[in-house]
Amino acid sequence: MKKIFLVLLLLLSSQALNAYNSKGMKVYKKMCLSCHGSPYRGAQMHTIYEWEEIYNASDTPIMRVHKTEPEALKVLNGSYFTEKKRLYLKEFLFGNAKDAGAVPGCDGNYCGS
Amino acid sequence: MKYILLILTLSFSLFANSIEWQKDYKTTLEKAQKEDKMLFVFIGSKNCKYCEKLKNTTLKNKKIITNINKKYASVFVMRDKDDYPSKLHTKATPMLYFLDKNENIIDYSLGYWDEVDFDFILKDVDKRYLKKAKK
Repeated sequence: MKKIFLVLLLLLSSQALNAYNSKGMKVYKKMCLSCHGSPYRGAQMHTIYEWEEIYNASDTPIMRVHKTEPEALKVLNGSYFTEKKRLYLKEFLFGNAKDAGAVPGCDGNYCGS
Repeated sequence: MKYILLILTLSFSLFANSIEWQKDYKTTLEKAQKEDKMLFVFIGSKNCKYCEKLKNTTLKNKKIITNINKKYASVFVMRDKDDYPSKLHTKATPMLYFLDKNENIIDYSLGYWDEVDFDFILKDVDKRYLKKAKK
């Protein structure tokens, strides 16, 4: 019984974390904020389909879309942007895309302001 | 005389203190087609707190006003009340649509954004517009 409860708790918490994805937001804030605006704004640059197109076009999609921007490439090629962080960022961008259903009017960094 | 009038009109639109909202969608489309501008359609609703916030803060910013008046013919419409194309649908407000003069949707944005983010939105619309024009 205890084990079932524990598994359920783990499942629920992992789903909640995936929806908010604070890790991805943290990566965004560190790497993308200065050029693309606040995290939710950045994710809403594209729809889910458009993000899919970008991500499916290359193994290093974020590098590809910034290939003509040396300043951005310098940040993206730094040691901070590890494989794990690329994944966190991807999850955040997809989860908060323009048509993903997140309303920034009262969400995350805007709620209550 | 013609040039003086043109300069006066241009300077008025460049240094206006507020967005030049047109009275309805039809007038906005006519203005956009006449002046070769894009359309900025702000869809609001009754008791929409964030529509008011967007109108009274972000859209009062001088840089944003100048940018919008220069490139767009703008209109504020009430959802489910005013006349505007049905393809500009929205479940939530504030909803912002950016169209070209042929009424093709270039981009849209849902929700409230501050001045910094709104500036990024306008830049993105420009990019999308240029990309579409190239195709």
